[in-house]
Amino acid sequence: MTQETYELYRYLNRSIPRLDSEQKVRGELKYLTDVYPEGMLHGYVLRSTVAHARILEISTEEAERAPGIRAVLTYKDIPGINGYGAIVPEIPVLAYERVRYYGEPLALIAADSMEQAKAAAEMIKVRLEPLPAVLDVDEAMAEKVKIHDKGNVARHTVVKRGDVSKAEAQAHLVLERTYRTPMQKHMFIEPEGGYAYVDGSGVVHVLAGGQSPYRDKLQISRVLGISPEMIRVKNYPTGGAFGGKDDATVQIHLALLAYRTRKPVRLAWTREESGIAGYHRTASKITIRTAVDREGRLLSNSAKIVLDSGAYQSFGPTILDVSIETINGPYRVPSYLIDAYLVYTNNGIASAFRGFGAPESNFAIESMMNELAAELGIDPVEIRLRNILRTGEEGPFGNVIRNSAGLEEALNRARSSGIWRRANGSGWIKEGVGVAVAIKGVGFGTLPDYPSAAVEVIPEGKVRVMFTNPDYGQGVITGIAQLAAERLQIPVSEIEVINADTMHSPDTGSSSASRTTLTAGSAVVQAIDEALSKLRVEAASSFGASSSEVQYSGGRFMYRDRSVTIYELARRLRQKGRSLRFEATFEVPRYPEPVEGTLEVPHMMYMYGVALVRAGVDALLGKVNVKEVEFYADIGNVINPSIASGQVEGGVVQGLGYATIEEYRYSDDGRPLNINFTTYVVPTARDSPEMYVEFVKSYDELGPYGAKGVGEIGIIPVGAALAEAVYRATGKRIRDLPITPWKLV
Amino acid sequence: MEVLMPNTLDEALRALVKNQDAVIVAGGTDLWPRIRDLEVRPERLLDISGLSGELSYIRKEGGKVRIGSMTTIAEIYESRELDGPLEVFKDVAAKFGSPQIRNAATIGGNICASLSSEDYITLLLALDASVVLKSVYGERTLRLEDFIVDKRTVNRKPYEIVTEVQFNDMTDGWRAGFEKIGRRNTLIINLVNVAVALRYNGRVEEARVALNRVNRKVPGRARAAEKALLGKEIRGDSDLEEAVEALRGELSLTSDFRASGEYRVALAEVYFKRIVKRLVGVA
Repeated sequence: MTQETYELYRYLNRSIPRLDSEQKVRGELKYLTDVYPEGMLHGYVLRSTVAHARILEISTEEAERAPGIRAVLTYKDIPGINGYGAIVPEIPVLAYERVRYYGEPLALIAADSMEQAKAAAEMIKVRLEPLPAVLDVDEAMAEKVKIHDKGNVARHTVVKRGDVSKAEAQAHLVLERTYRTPMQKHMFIEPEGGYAYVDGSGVVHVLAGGQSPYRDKLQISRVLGISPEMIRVKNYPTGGAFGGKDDATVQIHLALLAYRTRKPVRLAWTREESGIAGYHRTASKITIRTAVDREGRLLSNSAKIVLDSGAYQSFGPTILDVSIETINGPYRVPSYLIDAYLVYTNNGIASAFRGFGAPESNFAIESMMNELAAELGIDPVEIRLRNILRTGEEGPFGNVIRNSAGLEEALNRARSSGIWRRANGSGWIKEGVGVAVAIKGVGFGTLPDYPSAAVEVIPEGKVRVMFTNPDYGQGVITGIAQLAAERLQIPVSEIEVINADTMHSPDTGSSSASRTTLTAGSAVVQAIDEALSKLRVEAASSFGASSSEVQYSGGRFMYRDRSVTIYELARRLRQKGRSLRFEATFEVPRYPEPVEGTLEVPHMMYMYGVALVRAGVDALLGKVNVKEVEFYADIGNVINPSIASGQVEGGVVQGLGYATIEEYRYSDDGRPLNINFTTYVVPTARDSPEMYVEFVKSYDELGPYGAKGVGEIGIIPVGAALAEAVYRATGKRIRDLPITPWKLV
Repeated sequence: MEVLMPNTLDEALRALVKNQDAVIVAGGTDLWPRIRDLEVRPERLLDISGLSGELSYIRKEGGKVRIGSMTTIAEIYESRELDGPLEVFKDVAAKFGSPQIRNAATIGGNICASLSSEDYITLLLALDASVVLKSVYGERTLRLEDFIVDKRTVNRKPYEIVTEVQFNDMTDGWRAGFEKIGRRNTLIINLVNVAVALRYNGRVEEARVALNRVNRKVPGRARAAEKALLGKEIRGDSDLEEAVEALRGELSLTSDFRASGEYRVALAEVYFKRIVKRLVGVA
């Protein structure tokens, strides 16, 4: 950031330590799976060990009579609806009639000990009639084996503009390529888990790692068949999520067991259970055909996008939307034709994962841009500069680009980087540098989004800030506290955050889609304005002045030579029996209608990133060694540079894992093969390259203090940039991630 | 589960005679995950961590290098005794697990696990190391090659404890190299590992080559490759063709979800050549 902004803000643009980092570093912070409530029962899930089958029988009589068993539940025991899912409630809470993936829950057990629970699970009589497992999207689309009665295509949509065939006829060059990306596991440090209990007034409390406490609450209420008011969900603290805890994991099962037994129940998946039954990123197969003129200007873009949803839709429909929005990049695309499919298979359940839909489509369009540049003999940065949308232009989805100056600057920084000159291989090590650009919408696009937050002024000298977007490691609590401090002009140490607890906070929505800064930040700022406006009236009345004559600065209201702190005013209000709590609801700016064929395209606010990757390839062994990554990003005004850089670096390393060594795989009969840290490997510090992250100067007036978002931007362009670096080093184009060594020899 | 915790080797050996079903725990890094995953359900453990004072040492005496079985990988990494050509021990340690694992895992535990993933077995085979086993009835020394029988099977009587590995100090033109290749740079099960020890004075006078899977599922010596190296003056790849050909015939590298057997063989050949050339100073 520039010196100018440092002077403007007191608590923003500052890398203060995370508010919970000391507790975490000391190992003192208790995650919700670290809690073992007194008198608790052990929850256990009996899971399918086949990928696809008809259920003939699930008998629990013997298990119910086993020692220490307090409850054995099957679909028959669900009081409300046997279904959940963030978009469509079609995922059975407990399997009914059919099993559609290996690991699908068949029964729930609560017992006095885990040993008793496991012993009882073996007594449950399960008879399954196996059906062929469909693991490939092409096979699924052939519809020979139907995974759902309605067919194997969960969603199909066509989104188009202009006349693609006319554009192609006039083009200098038309390239068609097929790109694939694999399933990716989140591998957060804390597997899914938590505990639940029913209090004296009958409220069901569910405390579990998650990303969306109010959606969890709603999903639980449908399944239990009770009012959401009788349910409380707390998601803080959560040990990592990356999207994998956005839809419900243990929450509904926990609620069912506690509701039935009326006792505290703990349910925590093992790492292997998380590996088997947890969510993963959609695999993609994208065929893209792009037409350009002689100078490399895009004339048209056609894409057939096929995403593997697994056995059910979780976020699938919106993942498909993000992939559609991403396939045109940040570019001027006069005509396009996007044919997009979300397809059922028996590969577990695909759900949210950092940037969902964007890394998948980005690999296709950005690899295509690199291939076009090479074919035309144009510099890969230059071809992008010729095509990016400038401020004020209309984007491909009819949206006016409000602010893209950051992307242009980021590309210019990338072009003049010294990294291009550092690609010097020797002997059998060949080196190359690759570039790719990323665009990612912040929030839910055209979907209505009304995040609410609350603040409470505590007379003892604290301002309590309450919002529900969980902090699962991104540093949300710290960033929002900095925004609150800035608004109130009081030190961050006077801000106390209550995070992700429906008992304390109104609904700010989920931590997803890089939306927390925008949504929680804006709602908290509004709630503070609400508080200050009420307190101003109180101050004015005590001064015998009108509120317009009262000044506010640094936590004090002033009139002539008199002043009063917000805390003193709060004390007076409390004496009068008035509420010290102030709420506000922010209306996320959006276009009124989605583009035809989509649910939520386009967005109004976008983040941008440019990744430069320098990699060495062992020519004989195909081993890729990523030496260096530079990342130039436009994320709006930067609240906490250190946390924001950490988000980008984390995303880059996760993207490198996705592009090189990670790949979640199933056996031919649909059994997951790599389900723990021994078999599913992610990059370690030793595998991480030198990284340089720079945020270009940017301010988006729609965001709080000009801030946008950051969580997802890092991961998105890494695959395409690395594939280009490998191409520059070896002459080999890899169009299917991950770039394993054997694809290069 | 009963856990016996002797404080001396004598105590341990006496306890073992009485409890021959006891599973010996050194660093526990291999055993503990297997207990957790219920792969093994031992009724009795003999925890010999109390013996680390006695059995943790690295000594050079009488032309031999002796490493106590309870010496941790971290101690090997930091050892000043392991210098010159013996620095190769640190090449193994540097890619061995994580700092936490290196602090706990021992060299004795590594060889007793008897798996293709145990990188020190490969190196020690190339050094023609021996294993010292003690019991209340006495002591015997076995060549490591005879000690390693098969996957998770070693030539140890239930009342014996491995107390030491030993090998001839590398003087007289001996040099050794090691490479481990996995899908990432550390904390990873190898796809292949290769260790080569050579006595080279213008020509190969003696050669020992070991890999993680030779003719069976555990590390072993590639004798045909060794033979092909003998007497060779090495100036480049062409002088190694015969040895590589021989090596190919000896490997039993198979496919799994990590990598294909074919790719593993390619890795083994390339690294074998690179190590030999590095050891004789040829680019």
